[in-house]
Amino acid sequence: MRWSRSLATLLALALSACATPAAQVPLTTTFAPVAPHQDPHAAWWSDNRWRYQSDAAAETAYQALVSRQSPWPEWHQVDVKPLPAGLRFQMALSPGQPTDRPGAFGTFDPVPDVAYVRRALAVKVAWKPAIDRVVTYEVIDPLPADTGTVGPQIDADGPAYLPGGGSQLEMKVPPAERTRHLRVVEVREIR
Amino acid sequence: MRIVVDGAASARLVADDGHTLPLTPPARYAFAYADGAATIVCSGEAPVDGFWDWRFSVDPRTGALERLGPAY
Repeated sequence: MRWSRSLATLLALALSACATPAAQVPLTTTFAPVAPHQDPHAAWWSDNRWRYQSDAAAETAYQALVSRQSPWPEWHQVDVKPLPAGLRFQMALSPGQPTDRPGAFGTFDPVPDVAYVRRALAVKVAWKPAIDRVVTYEVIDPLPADTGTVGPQIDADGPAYLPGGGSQLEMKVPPAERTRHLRVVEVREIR
Repeated sequence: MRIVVDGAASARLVADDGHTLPLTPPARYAFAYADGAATIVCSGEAPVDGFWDWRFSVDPRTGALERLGPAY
């Protein structure tokens, strides 16, 4: 009897989880600016040490991140596939960056503010010193891209640990061909 | 001082007194946009260290470009 009651409770919990829509970031949500860390190494260590078999392996991974600055987490498996026409994504732009000069990276997240770009998209200051707009692009011609999760970064400007964790796409076509695959849906200012 | 990008192969540094210095993109790169007083983003023909787009500093005296790091 007790067993069947537990099973019923589990089923109810599972069903309620299915009925709950996936959490989305409302555009009105603001994120705390990335605060300088006294020790970005310690902050990275706290989040990522568990992934490695030893301190030495973790330290090697940390140093590789600092030197190579891979935009992907270490566990990412490259899988380039065409994004279908009609798919929309967003991209942060610098002041002076025209929408017909997109970078290689975009996100499927709704970008609420610059703090989100720094923290969840892990865009280092040196990579994009200033950000003033977000553009929404729509794919109009199948666009080869790698997709996945944003990896963490160590930003020497700050210094800061940028945890990443947002969604990410990387266009896998030469820069001059990017706009051939895209149309601008919307441009909005962010701070 | 500001940088004006006129096209993939043409840009200029405009000094506060109006003097201009023509800029030439590095080999195998095209100018994309300028987003700073003395830096310019260029797109490569092929990725380098995994990145297609790189930020370059501009020497205001000579117009020489020096690669700083990846551009997002």
